[in-house]
Amino acid sequence: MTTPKSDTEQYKTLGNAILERQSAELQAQLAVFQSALTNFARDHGEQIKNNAQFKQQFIKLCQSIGVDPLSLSNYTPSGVKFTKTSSHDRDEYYNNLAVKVIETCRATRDANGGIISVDELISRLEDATYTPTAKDIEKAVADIKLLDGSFSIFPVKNKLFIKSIPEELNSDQQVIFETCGLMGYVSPGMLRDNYGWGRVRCRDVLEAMVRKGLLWVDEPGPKQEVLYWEPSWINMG
Amino acid sequence: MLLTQWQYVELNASGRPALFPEEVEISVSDEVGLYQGKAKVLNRQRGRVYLTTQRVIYIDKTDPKAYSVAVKLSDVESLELYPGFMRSSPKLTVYFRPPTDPVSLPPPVPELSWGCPICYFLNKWPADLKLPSDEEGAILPPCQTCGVRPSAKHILRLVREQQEVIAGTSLSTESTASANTCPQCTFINHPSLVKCELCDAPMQPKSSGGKQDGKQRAGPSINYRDVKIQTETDDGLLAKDARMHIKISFRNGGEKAFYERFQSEVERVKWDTLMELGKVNANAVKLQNNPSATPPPLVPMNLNMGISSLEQIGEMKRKKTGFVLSGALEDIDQLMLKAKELLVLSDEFAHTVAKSLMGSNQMNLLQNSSLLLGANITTGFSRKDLLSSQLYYEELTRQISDYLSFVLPFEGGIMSLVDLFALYNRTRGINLISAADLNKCCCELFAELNLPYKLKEYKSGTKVVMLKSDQEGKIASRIARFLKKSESEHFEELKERLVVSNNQLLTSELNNELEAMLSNKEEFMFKGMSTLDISKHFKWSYGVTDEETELALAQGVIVMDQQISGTYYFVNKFDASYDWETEETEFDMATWKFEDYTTQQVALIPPPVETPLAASTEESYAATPVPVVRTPNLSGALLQLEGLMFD
Repeated sequence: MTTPKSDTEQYKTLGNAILERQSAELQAQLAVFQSALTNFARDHGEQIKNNAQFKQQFIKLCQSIGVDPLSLSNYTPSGVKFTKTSSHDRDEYYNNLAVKVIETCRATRDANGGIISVDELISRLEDATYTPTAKDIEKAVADIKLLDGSFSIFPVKNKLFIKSIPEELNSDQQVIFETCGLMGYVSPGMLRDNYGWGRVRCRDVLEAMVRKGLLWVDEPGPKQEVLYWEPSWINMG
Repeated sequence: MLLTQWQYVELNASGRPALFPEEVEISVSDEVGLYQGKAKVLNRQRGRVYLTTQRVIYIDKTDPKAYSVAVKLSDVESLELYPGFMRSSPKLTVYFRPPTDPVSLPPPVPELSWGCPICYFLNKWPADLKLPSDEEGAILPPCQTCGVRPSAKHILRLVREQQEVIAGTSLSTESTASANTCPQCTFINHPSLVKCELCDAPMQPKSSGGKQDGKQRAGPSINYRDVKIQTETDDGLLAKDARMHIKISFRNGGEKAFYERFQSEVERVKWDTLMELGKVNANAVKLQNNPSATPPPLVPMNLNMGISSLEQIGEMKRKKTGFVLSGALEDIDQLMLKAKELLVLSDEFAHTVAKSLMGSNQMNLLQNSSLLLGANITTGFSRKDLLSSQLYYEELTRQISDYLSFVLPFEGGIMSLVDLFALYNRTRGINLISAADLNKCCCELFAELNLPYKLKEYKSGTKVVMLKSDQEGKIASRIARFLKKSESEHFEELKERLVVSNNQLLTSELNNELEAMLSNKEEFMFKGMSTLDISKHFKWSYGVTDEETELALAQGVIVMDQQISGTYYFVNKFDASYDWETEETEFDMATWKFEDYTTQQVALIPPPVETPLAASTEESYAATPVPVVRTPNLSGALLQLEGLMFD
């Protein structure tokens, strides 16, 4: 004998089971669809570009099923499609890269205050098939600089950084970036011992950088010295 | 003679034709003139000509609003190219079809169907079954999916409504024909739809009246204004057996590429028309279809009732999806053929996609760009489509202007060029534009083409685009007003909470006391607004906010307080000379407290002022002539409020 309550329960379980199965099947179909579309774009790029109406439909299709159209035209420098002689492909490649550089700089601004190392940028952009080189990034940033003079690429010691904010780094801040390049962090003690900075100078520079989001504060414990980390080292885990 | 094929063209703010839904631009050429028959058409001798998937559109250079005309591709019979000779420019002759009435679809026999009140499945009423004559007694067929019998009353009501609608539409004249009411659910659909948006029922084809032939996908209901065409001399079209034609004269070349694209579009349109009229044999497929494959029917063959049937329908639907996918993804031609079908499908996937991308950055971007596509914004044309680079830039600028008209409101009216570059290219998807091109468009051509946008460059080198009508300096006062408003809101909220938590009525006496108390205690003070808060309020990007607050600081309208936790902004109450309150007349606590005091002393401080607020407010209150109520003078009610904690 079943009570009405257990009936309801059973219907519920049945309903949930059906829903789950359907959503799993939908997921599987979606995955097939996505990969197929990606392959199409790679194999028939020219055909797609030459048909205006279909191109629009194709991009719409990609967007509604969650395929990034920009990732489709990844002409890898080593790949078959990309030859440095074909200027159109090359332009497309750099424009594409520029878009991604801008998006990454914008997306990480909350974490790093608008200054990101080129190494980190590359590690964020690369995927299974493609890794941009530092040279490529430099070229892309040079293009972006036309639109926004505050976008620039600058070296600190041997490391390249990209700045996407209007402020310039002053020489004290440069020094801190250099030091961070070695250890990942600085502390007021380090600055005092190595550069002979006074207490007030250390505090002013460090606090200004924390305020702008360029450094992260690490308070290890009551008796220990506060450390100031450069965000790209935090991300490296 | 007046050719009926000329049509009025709607323009948008960027001076480009407003396209119909599903209409896509294919090519454009400039410096063209129009002929009707043998004669030049007056006032249409210098302009651009667009080829789209539905029309050929002429946009006049001198007065685009008055003189722009279009011709539908479905009216075109054939094309002929005259390559030009000596001083005569190359011309493209467009022959129109003879004006016979196109064969229209036979109206489908109206079917009666009823929606199940339990599961909403749309059941067909069996053709051989008589309708129940009265409201009681008759045995009705159960719903095909859930197996529940409908009440006779329900069926009768639906049937009656349906018949009324059908009768209504067939008898109706223009007034109801435009409404396009669904015969099943009475939803009033857009006139261009052939299926009901809500219930998917086929719509009644409108009685074909006048020029509106059955096959035309009517775009947005445009007021077809009369197009006045005057020719220089006699066009010679009235002569016996003259073929109706017009000519497009290409004074600047580019006729060959245009002709080729035009030709292939005309052929495609003809083919589509045939398909729609049902004149193509089932086997006469242009591209090889897979003959063995037919989509599995949506409704299961052997009908069971209840849950299992619902489940079965889900299964069938999934199979059909699989079928469409596997068919369409066979090769590129199939994909092109089935693109529309896939788009419908992908909408169903959208939910799943949204779930899997939840929270990721990509999601925002995708939503953004699909939004834009929904608005039918063209981002077509690559450089090689167009002949001269000047034309390419002009056209690109117009397209960017179109794009801005859509995207700028989402960005709070100001958008940095860098963001525009990223977002615009993302919408294009392929055939991206370069930063240099964008720079050229926005810097030089906005003004040249008289578009409603302008470029502004900050000191740091950041460039932004904004509406031309936005005046300099207005933005600073907008920021100031926002800061002032949030400050007064902050105090109002505190007061509210104090009063509510003690069940007091807010008398004016109590109000004064409260204000005095709130403004004297550091913990109640307004903590200012961060860059993030300002960005959120104005929907600006961080970069824009940084620059604009910087400008406002330099003007002395606002002040900032820098702490280790960040930078906070306040209205500048030290300088009374700046008039940022003219637009607001309502009583405001913050200004009221300071107005006497500011004129007396601190107007001397030159802008920009950067003061830690805690210090500045303390000294300012000491000088305020407003009666400061000390604790001993507080009324009993207020004394109880002392020591209240705010979390």
